[in-house]
Amino acid sequence: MRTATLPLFPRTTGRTATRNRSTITDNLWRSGVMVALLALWGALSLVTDLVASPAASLTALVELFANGSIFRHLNATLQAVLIGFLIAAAAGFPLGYAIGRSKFLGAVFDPIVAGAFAIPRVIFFPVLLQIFGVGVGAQSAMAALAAVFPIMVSTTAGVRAINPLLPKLARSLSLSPLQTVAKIYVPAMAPSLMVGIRIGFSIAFINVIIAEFFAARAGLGLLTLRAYGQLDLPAMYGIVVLLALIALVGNLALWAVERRLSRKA
Amino acid sequence: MTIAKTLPKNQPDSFRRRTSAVRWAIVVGLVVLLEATTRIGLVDRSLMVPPSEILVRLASIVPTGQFAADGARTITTILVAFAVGLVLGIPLGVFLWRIPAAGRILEPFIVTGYAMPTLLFYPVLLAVMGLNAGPIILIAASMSLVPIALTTMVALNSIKPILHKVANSLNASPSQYYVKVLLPAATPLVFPGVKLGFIYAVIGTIAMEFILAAQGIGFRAGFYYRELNTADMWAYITVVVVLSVIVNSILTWLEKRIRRDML
Repeated sequence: MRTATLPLFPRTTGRTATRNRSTITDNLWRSGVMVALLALWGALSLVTDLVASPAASLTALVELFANGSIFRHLNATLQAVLIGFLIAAAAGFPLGYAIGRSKFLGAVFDPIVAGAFAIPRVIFFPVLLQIFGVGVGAQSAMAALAAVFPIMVSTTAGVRAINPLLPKLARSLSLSPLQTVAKIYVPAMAPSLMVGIRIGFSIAFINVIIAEFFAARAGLGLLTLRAYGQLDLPAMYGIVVLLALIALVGNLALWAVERRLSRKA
Repeated sequence: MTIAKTLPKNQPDSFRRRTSAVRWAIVVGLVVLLEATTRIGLVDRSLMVPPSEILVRLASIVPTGQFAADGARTITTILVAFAVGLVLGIPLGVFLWRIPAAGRILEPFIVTGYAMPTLLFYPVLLAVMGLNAGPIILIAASMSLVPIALTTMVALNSIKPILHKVANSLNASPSQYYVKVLLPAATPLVFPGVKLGFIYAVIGTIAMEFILAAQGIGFRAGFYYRELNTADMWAYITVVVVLSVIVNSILTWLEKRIRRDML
């Protein structure tokens, strides 16, 4: 998929002399946007009963942490995302690399991969439930199935976009295939890989939540649905905030990794 | 996926024929393998029924009124969600490009929105709008909006500076600038994002129908799972798979055409 070669999350911050000052003003604006969003939320909660106030939601969230009932669910969700993502990376990277390196494999598999990319993988969740039973296993499998394609596609795009001199350099240094991958390819395609990893993480996360909505024994998605069922709206919004925080922290961590990698390259 | 990129025009025909033969062999081989393993009993019938049986089941399902209603519902939901994503996403992308500071400041929020399961608001939307297509459209539209907006921004940023200068020196009016300069220059670059947006609209719609809806192809697949009717469940899964593959081929074909016309 060509889209993966475009930086979906472009880094626009330039490295100029005014960088520090602009970073500070940017962060000020960002906190401004945050406050505005909170104000909007607060205003909405005054208008309708269906929106709990920010204060009540945060209190409910703190309460969930205080009595410890949330940890089982948090654990289940994070575990499923992590296992699924690792499986997807372990399978997607070598496959994407092979498809990218070989012209023949690329021509054979490109249309298959593109077609599979467009299929909503949630539809296979009932089948996964029958294989793994209701639990973390089915959730991880769902996450792996969803995340494997973005990782594969951006690896392929990264391999294809590589400077053709680099493989020649590897050959002239008579590096082993493993060394070629680790020392030449991975550093050179770091930006494209990071796009894949970032999208992979997001998609794994979203799919675990969707899967938990459908059937699960524990998990934040299940907890949200349960809170809604009991009309415990503050708790529901509290968990939504927690999920947004997890998404934000995960992305910030990936950003930090990306910055380190690009500094090295 | 760009077949155009991997198979340049001057590629010998024999290469193309050979790769497509291998591709079909793999697909057919998989179907035959499924047929064999399910017939022998290696794969349990509660998990998967033989593909031939799915086909027979499909033939009896497709002519029914229920299927027509489900299909119409799903397709209109996808189209409306995609239209909303397009109408909101492109201006948002243009805005983020026009005011780079806004793009820089809003970036963490947009990226978080990408990784945030917006479908968590489904129960609330359900309470506000009722059990109809509304909540699904909203969620699928929000999912398709983000890639469209981001690609639009990136595409506009990567337009050659000379084009802006040409427009300036020809004294182009703002509308001429957008319609005659930016639109043709950006369309080929925006299209991958639009394609991704459409795929996301499909995924969002089917996923939401699957979890909680009263109608639609995704709903039907989940419904037959709960009824332990594996054959019908697979029939509907097949419909989704075929639908997605067809949509993707149409978009790929369109993409190739646009690129050929414009570049």
